[in-house]
Amino acid sequence: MRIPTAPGARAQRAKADFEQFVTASSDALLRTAYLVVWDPVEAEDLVQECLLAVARRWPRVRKMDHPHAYARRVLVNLALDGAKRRARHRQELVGDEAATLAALPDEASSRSLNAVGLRAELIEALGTLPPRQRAVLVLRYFEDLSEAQAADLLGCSVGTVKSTASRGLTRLQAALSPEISVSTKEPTR
Amino acid sequence: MIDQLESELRSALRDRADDLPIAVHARVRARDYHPRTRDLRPPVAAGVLTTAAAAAAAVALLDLGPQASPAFAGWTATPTRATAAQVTGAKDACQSRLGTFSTAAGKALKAAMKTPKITGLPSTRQMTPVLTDTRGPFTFVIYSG
Repeated sequence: MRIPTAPGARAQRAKADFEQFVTASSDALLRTAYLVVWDPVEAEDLVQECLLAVARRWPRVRKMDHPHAYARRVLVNLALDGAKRRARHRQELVGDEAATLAALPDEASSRSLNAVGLRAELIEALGTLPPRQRAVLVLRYFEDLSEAQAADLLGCSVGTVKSTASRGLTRLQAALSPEISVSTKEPTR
Repeated sequence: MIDQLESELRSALRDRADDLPIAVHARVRARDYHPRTRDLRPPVAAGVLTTAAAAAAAVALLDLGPQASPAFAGWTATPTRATAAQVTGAKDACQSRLGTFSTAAGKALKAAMKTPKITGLPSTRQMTPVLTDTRGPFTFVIYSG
């Protein structure tokens, strides 16, 4: 027999579910955001914006089979929609603030440079990719999504994902030093 | 064959993601996002419907009283036959308004109506209506003569 729940208790439950969702998903969302926008400050803002969007639709989102997948879709689309705006904003920044923002990724990169050689060069090259190319590579090689899943998330065709990933890999390959260059093939799956 | 670039790319992305400061994670988790706790869509929809119904009722009660003139929103190829009084009234109104024309064309028309022999146009008194149509307060008359 189902016991009816009081509206107040239901609200508490929904809020608790959301907090649980944030605890479980925010780290993964942050990592994805960081890789797509390549800046920790922007990644933090982006994830907060994403979680606010999810919070506004929480009664529907919590009923979904995969709320995290929905949040990731919101996140990546927010990141790509705002890429031009953020680039413009970055150009407008002057003085200390700009210096701080610019220094953060460099610090992170320098730590990554400890992983010498190819990986360090790859990380540096990844930072130079256009956001959409980087997003596709992140979805394919960090989130391990299939081409179809990535296409669905980005709202484009599988062919677009394939060609974007291929162009990204080609650019990465071109950016690597000849002595540590590696063989590539068309990404599959 | 293992694709080295793809493999290295996976590792590089993981390394880069690990660089994100822990404090950022903590700040994101600590924020209160004020999640909505119930779906507001059905109540909102009900509210919109209720408001629309109330607005429609208010318009009907306030603006369309029993004395309101009927609306004429339709059109048929067959004209409504005007009464004799309407036709006479329209003719008189037309004749009198010719005097209010200030443009050269209006004056010429008025002169033509007064001197039909010169222009070949008969006076409205000599013409007969072939088509009359009444729309609300207006009566349209086409004469032949």
